[in-house]
Amino acid sequence: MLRYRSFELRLLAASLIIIVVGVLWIIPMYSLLAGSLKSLAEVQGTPVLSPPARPSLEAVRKVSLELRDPIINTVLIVVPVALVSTLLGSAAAYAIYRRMDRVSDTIMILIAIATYIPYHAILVPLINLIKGLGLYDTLPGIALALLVYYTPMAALLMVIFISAIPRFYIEAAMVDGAGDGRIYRRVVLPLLGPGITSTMIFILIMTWNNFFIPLMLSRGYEKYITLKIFSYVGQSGTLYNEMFAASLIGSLPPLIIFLAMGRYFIKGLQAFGGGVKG
Amino acid sequence: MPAIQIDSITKVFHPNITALDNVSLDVEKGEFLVILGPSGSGKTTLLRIIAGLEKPSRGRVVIDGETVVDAEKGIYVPPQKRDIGMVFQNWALYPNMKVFDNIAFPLEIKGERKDVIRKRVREIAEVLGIEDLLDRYPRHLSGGQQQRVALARALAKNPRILLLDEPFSNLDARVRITARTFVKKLQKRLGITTILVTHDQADAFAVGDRIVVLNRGRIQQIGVPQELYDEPANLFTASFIGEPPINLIEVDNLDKKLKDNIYKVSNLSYVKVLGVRPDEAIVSKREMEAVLNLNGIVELVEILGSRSYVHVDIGGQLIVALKAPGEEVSPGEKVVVNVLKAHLFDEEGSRISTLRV
Repeated sequence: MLRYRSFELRLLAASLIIIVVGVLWIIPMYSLLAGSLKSLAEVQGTPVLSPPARPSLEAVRKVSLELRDPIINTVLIVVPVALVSTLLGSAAAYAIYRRMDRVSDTIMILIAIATYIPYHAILVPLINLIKGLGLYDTLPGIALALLVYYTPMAALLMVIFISAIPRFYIEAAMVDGAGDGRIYRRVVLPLLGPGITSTMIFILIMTWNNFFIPLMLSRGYEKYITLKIFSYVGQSGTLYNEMFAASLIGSLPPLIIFLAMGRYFIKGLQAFGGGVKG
Repeated sequence: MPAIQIDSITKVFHPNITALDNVSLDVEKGEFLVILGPSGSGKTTLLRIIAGLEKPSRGRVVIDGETVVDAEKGIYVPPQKRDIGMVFQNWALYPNMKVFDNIAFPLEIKGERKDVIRKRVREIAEVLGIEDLLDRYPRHLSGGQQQRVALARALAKNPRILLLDEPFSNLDARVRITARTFVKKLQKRLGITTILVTHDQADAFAVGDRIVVLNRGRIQQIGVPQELYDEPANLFTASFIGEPPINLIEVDNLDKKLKDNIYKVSNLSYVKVLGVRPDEAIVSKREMEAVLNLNGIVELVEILGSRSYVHVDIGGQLIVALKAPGEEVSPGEKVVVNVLKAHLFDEEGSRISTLRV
């Protein structure tokens, strides 16, 4: 009986924490929504959290037209980056998993270091590299820079996912006559499904929200969504309602992706603990 | 020429664990060899070295005259090129492939044509009685079915040898017995050289043409099943094989009269341990013709249906023996243990001789 009560109490405490955290998370979202539905005069004259007196979609409508091209550009960059970095990362992870010796340990450490270096620190050589390739101020240039930066992170995540795959599957494939390429494609990759999805979603969201790399690698504001949002901070004054609307629209795609694919994301996270069920 | 030659294989794991210590062994063509040993005896390591999943520290393995690994000469043929079939302890069926694709996988790698693959998969599925399961995923199969699929996959490419790593240990007791018979019959029918690794003597006796007893990385004895039971080479084999386990009696602990008696009948003065199988000694109220007659008091009677075992206290040592049919004994009663056969072991644990009636 006592044990049951303490369980109930813990459930209550957990619910309370979830509610508090939820509210904290929803406030910025709400203020974005409220702000983008106000007129410029109202957004400047009323507190951030007060609801709009006369909601109007004008700012949203105007901004969504302006955001169309940057969003398309960003999608053209982040989708290939997420795909390629995840696949490259998983291949690297497979190689590390197969070797398990001093060489692979060293590579693993290098990958970890590469993941945790703040990108501001490597930006100058990165810009030089992109410029040297003649890709400055192009979509492929931004994509390549993001790829360079995010592939180690994908590899690191995939190493964790791949270690959850029992080794006997790989050994069985070896005895069946399969070489590493085939083992990776036919046995490991299918078992990595949840891990691949999680890593891809993670990279998608991270790159979508990246501001600094596209800022340094392009002129103007049209090539990346975060730059475009930033452009509403004008030099002679800020169009707050339009900036709110732009931020709102700009943060929708990652949100939609997460809501649509969240199931797989959770599945992937569970693979950390549970291993692959045969 | 033997199908498989295992020549002075030693495996030392980092930093300093000797899993296998100078193991040598020949497997004949078409033979069903069982490697039997407790956990940690090195039996799975030996199998993995034959498969190529592990490299030996010293020694070599020759399959069909081809050296597949030689630690001294630096020869190592990877498992992909050894042309072997293997069934893993948990079967390791690819969960993302249907049964058909699991069996077809090794054929596909060989580069067989689609129609050839289809024909071969049907053929082998029929041999194993799993034709109806080809469209299912492994997770929808029972343990026994999964095992057959694993066997089918291992046999699909007609390998030179078949390796089985504890194939019965994940099966229910009932399925296990049918699976043993099935595997034994299949092996004889296909005539494929097979090595099976197990810790279970019942598995070993059920399927093995010959059994290798392994302990702490060393071969204790190699022989046909009956030999291992009748003529154990040492204390380890004697105590590891046989159910219920053999009675081991320290000769020094026996009273003088009995000790002298043993020395007299054996003609040996350095006997240290006496091994008596429960099934080779009869508990009765009267003395029978025997190698030894040990007097004692009944402690417990274990009734197993077709027969009963009696636990008898003989001057401080407990001995389990078969109850004489038709007699009734009860705890506290004075009885005689009539030993029909006794193995004599020396200080090192080697068998010196065996006394028979």
